[in-house]
Amino acid sequence: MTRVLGFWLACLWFTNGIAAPTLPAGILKLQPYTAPALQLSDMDGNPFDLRQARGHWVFVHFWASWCAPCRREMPTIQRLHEQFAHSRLQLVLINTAEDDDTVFTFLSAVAPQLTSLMDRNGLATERWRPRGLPATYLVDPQGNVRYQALGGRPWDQGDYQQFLRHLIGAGVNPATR
Amino acid sequence: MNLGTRTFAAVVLTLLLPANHLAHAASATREFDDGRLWLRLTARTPQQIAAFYIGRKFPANMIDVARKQCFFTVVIRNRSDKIIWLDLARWRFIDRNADINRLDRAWWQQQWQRLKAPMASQSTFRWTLLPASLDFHPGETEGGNLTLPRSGRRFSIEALFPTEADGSGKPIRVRFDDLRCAEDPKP
Repeated sequence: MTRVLGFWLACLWFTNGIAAPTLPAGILKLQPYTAPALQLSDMDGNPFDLRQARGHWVFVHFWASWCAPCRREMPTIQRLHEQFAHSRLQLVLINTAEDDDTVFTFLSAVAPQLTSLMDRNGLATERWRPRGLPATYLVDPQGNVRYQALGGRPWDQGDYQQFLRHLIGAGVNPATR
Repeated sequence: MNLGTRTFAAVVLTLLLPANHLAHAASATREFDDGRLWLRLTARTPQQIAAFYIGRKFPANMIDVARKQCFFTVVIRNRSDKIIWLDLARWRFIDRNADINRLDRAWWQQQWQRLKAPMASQSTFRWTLLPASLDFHPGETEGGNLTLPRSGRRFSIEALFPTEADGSGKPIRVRFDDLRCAEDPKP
């Protein structure tokens, strides 16, 4: 009897350990596909290539300062950045087709800890074919796009944090999700 | 400024506006809501359009082209639990009994190529247009500008929104009558 109970408790623990939390509102699970190329530099000229982020989950976020939902969402991404510092989640922001002055002025006022890659002619953004701006994709450690957010999301809220922590959590194999 | 302050400011501004401005403001925005689909249509004046793109550092020749056209900002929210399709090919713009041809992305692209417009400005302009087609997921909100040739005449918009993932569900019909392109205020 004790062994039977132990077996079921073990099953319960195991399934809880790997079960995905409910998808937060506005997060779409996608049929995985290879992430489009993303090779850009930030305002200081530091280059970034998404291929070099293999082994990490990457939060790929396209934005522009003129887009009202982007402006509302950006402070929540700053808080996400603070809460996930030193984690296996890498945040990558891409500004779509604005200039350095505009991006610098906006970020320094709204999210001073964040930096952004500059898609100066907008072509990198086009390759990802977002539904609109803002657009956020979650790319798995193998370089596949696995989730997409619909519009701006409150990334600093509990269910989004729990979802992201689950994705990057130790012992969780994203390929089983 | 919090929401309460903004509401108070809006009420004060409304009370201070002369009556003709109130009528103008009331006719500039229309809404549709059937519990499944919410849609807001706002006519933009040439000054509003110019101000927006000047703020985005567009060159003067692009702004000249834009301000001569008729802009409506459209915001759409899927309030249902099913997919709702936006497909601009299923929108009609009716001036009396004749259809008006929408200025689509290809038309704008031609203008920008003719002007040798900067790629960054072209990209930003594209992102400010309403998508030609999009499957709105439950709870999703997207928007953008709808553009038509500018005229002083009144017209109607009749739009069909197919439903379900494959678009086979009964479409939602939206109609707005007595629309006009917004004009700049008279000095």
